[in-house]
Amino acid sequence: MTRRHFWHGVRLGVLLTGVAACSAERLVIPNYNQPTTDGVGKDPKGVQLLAEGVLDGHRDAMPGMIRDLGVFGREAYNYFPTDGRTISNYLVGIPGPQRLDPAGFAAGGWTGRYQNQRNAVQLIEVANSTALSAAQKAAVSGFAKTFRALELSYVIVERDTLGAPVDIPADPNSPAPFVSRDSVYKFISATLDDAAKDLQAGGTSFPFPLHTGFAGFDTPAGFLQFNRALAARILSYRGSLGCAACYQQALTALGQTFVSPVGGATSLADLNRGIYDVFSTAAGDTPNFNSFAQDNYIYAHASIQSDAQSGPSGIDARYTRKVVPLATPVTPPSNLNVAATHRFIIYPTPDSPSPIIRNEELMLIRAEANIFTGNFAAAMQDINNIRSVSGGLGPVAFATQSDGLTALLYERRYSLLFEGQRWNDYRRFGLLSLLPLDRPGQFVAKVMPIPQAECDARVTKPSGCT
Amino acid sequence: MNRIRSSVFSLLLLGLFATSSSAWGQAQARDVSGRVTIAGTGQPLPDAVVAVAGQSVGTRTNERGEFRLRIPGGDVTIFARAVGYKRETKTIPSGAGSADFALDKDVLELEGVIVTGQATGLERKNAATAVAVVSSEALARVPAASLESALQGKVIGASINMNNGAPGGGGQIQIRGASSLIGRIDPLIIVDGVAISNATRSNQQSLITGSLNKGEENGTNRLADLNPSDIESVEVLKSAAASAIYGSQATNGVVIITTKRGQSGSPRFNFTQRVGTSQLIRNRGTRHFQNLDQALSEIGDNPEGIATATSTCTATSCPYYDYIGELYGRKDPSYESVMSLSGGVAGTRYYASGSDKQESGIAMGTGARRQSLRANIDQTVGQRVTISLGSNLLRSFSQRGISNNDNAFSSPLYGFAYTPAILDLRQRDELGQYVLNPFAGGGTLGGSNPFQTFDLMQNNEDVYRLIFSGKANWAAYSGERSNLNLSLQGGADRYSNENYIRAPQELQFQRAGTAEGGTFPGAIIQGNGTERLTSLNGNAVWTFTPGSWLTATTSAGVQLQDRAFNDYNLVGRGLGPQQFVAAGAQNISITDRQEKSRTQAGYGQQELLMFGERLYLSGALRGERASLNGDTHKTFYYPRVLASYLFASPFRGIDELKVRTSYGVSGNQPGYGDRFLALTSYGLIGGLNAYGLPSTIGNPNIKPERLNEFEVGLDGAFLGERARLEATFYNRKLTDLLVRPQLAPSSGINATVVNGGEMSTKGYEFGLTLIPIQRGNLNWTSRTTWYQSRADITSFPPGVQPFTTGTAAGGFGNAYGRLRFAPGHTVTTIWGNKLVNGKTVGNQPLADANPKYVMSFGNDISLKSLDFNVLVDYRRGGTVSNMTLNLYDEGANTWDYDKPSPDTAIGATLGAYRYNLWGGGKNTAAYLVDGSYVKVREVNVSYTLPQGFVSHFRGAQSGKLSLSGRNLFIITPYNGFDPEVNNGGNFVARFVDLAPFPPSRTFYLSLDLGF
Repeated sequence: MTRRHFWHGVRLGVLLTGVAACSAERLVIPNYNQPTTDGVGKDPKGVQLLAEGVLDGHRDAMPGMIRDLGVFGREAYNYFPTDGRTISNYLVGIPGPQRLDPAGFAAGGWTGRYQNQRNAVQLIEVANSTALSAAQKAAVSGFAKTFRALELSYVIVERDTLGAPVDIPADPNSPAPFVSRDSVYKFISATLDDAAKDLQAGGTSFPFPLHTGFAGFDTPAGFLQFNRALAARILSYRGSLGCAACYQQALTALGQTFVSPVGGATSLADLNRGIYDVFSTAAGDTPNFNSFAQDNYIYAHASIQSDAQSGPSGIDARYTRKVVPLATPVTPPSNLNVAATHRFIIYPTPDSPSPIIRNEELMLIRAEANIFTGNFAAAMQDINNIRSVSGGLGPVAFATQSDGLTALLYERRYSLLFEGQRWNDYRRFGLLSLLPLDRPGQFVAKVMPIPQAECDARVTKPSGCT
Repeated sequence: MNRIRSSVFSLLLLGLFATSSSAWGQAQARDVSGRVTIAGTGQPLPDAVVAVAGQSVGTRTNERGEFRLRIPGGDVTIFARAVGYKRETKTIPSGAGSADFALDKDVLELEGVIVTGQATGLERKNAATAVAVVSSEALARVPAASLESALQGKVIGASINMNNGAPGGGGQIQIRGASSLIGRIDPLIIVDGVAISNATRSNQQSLITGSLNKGEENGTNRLADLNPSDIESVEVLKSAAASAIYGSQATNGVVIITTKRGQSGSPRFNFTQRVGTSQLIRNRGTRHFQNLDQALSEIGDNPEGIATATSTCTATSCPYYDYIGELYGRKDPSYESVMSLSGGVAGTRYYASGSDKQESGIAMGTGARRQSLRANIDQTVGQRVTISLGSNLLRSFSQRGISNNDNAFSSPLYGFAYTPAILDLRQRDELGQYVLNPFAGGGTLGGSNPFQTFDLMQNNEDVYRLIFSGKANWAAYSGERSNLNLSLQGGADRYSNENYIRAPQELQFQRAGTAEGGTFPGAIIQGNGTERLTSLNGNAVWTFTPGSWLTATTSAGVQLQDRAFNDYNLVGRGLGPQQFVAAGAQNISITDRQEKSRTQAGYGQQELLMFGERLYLSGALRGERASLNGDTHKTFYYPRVLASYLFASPFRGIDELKVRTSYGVSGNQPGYGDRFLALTSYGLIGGLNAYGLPSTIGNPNIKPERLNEFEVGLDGAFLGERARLEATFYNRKLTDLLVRPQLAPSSGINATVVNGGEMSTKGYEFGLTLIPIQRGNLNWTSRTTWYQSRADITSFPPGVQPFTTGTAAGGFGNAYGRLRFAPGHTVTTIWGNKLVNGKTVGNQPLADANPKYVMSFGNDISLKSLDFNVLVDYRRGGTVSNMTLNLYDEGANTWDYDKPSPDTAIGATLGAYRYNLWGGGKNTAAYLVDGSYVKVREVNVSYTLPQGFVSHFRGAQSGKLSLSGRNLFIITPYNGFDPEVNNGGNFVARFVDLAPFPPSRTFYLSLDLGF
């Protein structure tokens, strides 16, 4: 070996280390599959992308919630073919005392709802960091807070006496404390009122488009009617749960909505005016899983037919419009057999929209508020108007709160069938025991459990975690 | 490298040269020549290495066993060694010019060179870590679906399992137990110095069967592509001290595969033809219904089912159809042809091979094909430069049907579980339409007929792959006392993995209105995933031998590694007639994913071999930074120290005894994307893009997991080299463990990923090799191994609560048992519901998926021309969640359903008893069962054909006829096909048996001819 060789070697060595030395920046590789939070925030369309995310987050959770609440309220069966837990976890639960399994299938409606509340919080933050006008920022804030309140309302309907956290913590490692049911409802009302103020200051348009489910309600002023409709719903719930002034406040809120005049609904289309979640089978979009054409294992409870009243022109038109009997009964694969005999036709295709809130519900909220504030005449006007237009039934009359409630619950059951209301209605009036059990061993859940994951992640366990 | 570090390296290299310059000066060189033969027979031994002791570069013998070696003046010690033979050392006195060697067979595997660095090796007898080397002979004895299968039972401490019996492979190698909770769990695979991929790609089959995740899709991992007959040896680096040289990709161990190279001499041509067949390893069938009443009692109110039962059963009998036996009863032959050509002339050595293996699946419409072309060339350029090139073109094609979990009854065992075997599902009407299965899922409403599915559905995976490796070695300086070698090594592994699934709408589970068919009946998935790994190493090795008391080897180098992954699928639903592509479907969607990562590393290592090669001491440090870390510029260091001492005949009866100890650190990089705070696409709403928070958020501070491992062991040869014992204890501690704390979902975020947990693993490994008989004509070698390993989670960072895997691979909730990671428990603990005073309590530790211990027994007997080999595996313990049994009990179709019940108050029959005991998941333990087994893994009988017979084949010089079988028998109390299967594919713990593709036994008849 010569010295020349040696220096070749040195040069090779230096070359090798040099290859590594000048390439530190080559280690900075972006995320190819997801945009960073920063990247979206700085995008000119960032606010729109996140606002659509809030709408999407809400929409995607709805069919499942309507199903779950429909099963609890004995409106529906979920006979998912390959897993018996869609029956056992909802109708049988776990023993000691009999309750729903916090780690089972019937513990949903939590994670997605809070995630979307955080999406709403983030939307406001991102909007405030942009060059949007003050009015536009207010409009975004009103939109986001309304959805935040709406998401939380589903959570508390499902958890009821277990309570729920209301704050979205800045640091996700420090979860917010649980507060009582009544505090959650108060928080929702306050958030909706806060959102209403923002919407009033929100100018004439949102800085992002709203989908066709908001047709007629897609400006801050129009959206404010949606906000007030939700406020009325929450106030009516609170009224039934002991808030003395709430029913009167609900009537006030209804005055700022799109509700028909008392007894003034003219047609089914009139009753269906409202705000909807939209679905689509287009690639990348989400279909309505409650359409039998999409998931053919969701069935309707037989009592919908047997309990339906008849009028001059036959059985309640809401029954014939929403439910059909099956040619042959269907049984689930597990040994928890109860033959299903009916199915829903409320959402005929996977593109069918699903209501968030609509005129028919608002009229029934008004009837409820009137019953419990002693205005039976107005309540009967709305109820009989709906019986006629929606059900093709003759009028009813009542002179006591208790008879009024009986009439109201029948109308709410058939008018709002498979819209996620019945279970909560029977519970808030203390009537869960009236819901039928199809087999020995089944029970009617009082609340959906706090999910195991929520309990596990908390050092101090809330009382709902048992 | 930052500037400071690169300067350090430059200085190191400079220093190295400067030191070596002191040893300059050419000594009085001379030539020594001689011959190497096999002891006893005197046959020449070609391609044996002859070299001066302490030097890595030597010469090789030619086909007549002759060599010529240039050595320095004076007394020089030279040695001869060859693969499979014991090394022989001779001192050549000053002036002598010839030496002959006669090498003994190395039955106890005492010899060989093991890896100690990117460019350094060490004689096995001095190894300071537990050595696991599997030779080509042991690998290729019994044909296997993939390399994992061929390694089963041959590596102490490595748990190697096949995911199920589908043709084409799919298996897991887990070395020394679980080494990560949420990070990478597969070992690093190195082929001829180049890291290759062992990924399992999702074919998105779950979109068609409605199952939950990619592990359940039963894909193949890419180790299945390699042609085992090309492999010269497989070395497994188990401990962190051994694997630290691979830095942050090595906590799961490293599998180093060396392929065959050419040997000097005239061309040698080998040809192997195999033909074989497979059959179900275990089939117990399903429940035999006795009469119509019994059938009706299980069918329930399903009117189509009732009608069917009424037409097939009578008041006194029902027909029985063996669905499992029929669907998985195909015995079509499998073939494998392997050819290789090797040789060497002058400075060139070459090895070329081609193989084609066609494996028939036991189920109709399933099978696999593996083709391989390889060319390895070694070329010396002048006296000092060697260039080695290897290129391998591979193709793997597989048709694996459907298996494992699904939600459409499309997975056959799943569907059969709910189908009383009273209807011949193979029936077709005059139009060729299969009979509708009226039971599972309910006839017109859903369900499936697996015979139709396997007949009409296509599920193809086609992989083309190129692996290229190159190495240039420059013996820059060879002196009397020191040598300098510089090498540059690099290569690439790139594959394209195409998947094609076509589920036409006439399939029962794809019809309009069913759960999977919905509004878009029929589906096609066309996809492709490509992955590319490239690496480049530069190494400098300086060996300094001042005398027989010391050989010092100093090495240093740099390494660059890149990975790129690009994956997409086109999913078309709602097919037209005769449609074979996704385009044109009613509903088309795309899945798409890209990943890139890069690692830069440098290392320095010092090795000392002292006192007549008795004491070995080594220390090394690797520095590394990578794009996957939160701080991409931060360098992480991986040190190691090792020592061994070899006693020669310390006591009577002990020939050789070595004690060894080591400590090392290796790492495991975070996953791609873990370092980003990202948002995710929610898809479209009203035609507009929607974005929001993902359920798991990243962590900009994420860094690699660190494995700190202490190992101590003993290797000895006894009784005149008739026995060898190895014993190893290790204590591993994983720090900076990646954990995925489940945040309170009410915070709006489900989970994040942080470092900070700790895990502790202790284990023992023993191996005993005996040669009970060693005579000229009759030799018997017996090898027994035993290991156990237990991985405990010792701590989580403050505030981190126990968490679950969040994937079906980790089990199906409390009801069926699932993994849940909690400090104070083993990683492999199975958690579930337990009845306490009649109340169901969830998240209770119920059992452990980890075996108590694992043994294997190998026996090789040769009698004249006959060779007999048998390998038996024994696994003691290891709980399995037998969800397959649960399905059959739920469907009241289990083979033993009608056996007497242990407690009729709970259930009238055995099946009802089990199902009611489980009570819808109230009592999870009812289906958590012992997975112990004894498996006759390999049996082989070979007959070396007499020369007279071989000469009938024109030009043939040697021949062998073998009859071999794999997985011949399983002896187990387990009530299922095979407790080895796993629904979730490769996973940190394996324990879910859920409608697997049933494992099979295979038989092969092979003819080897050498020309």
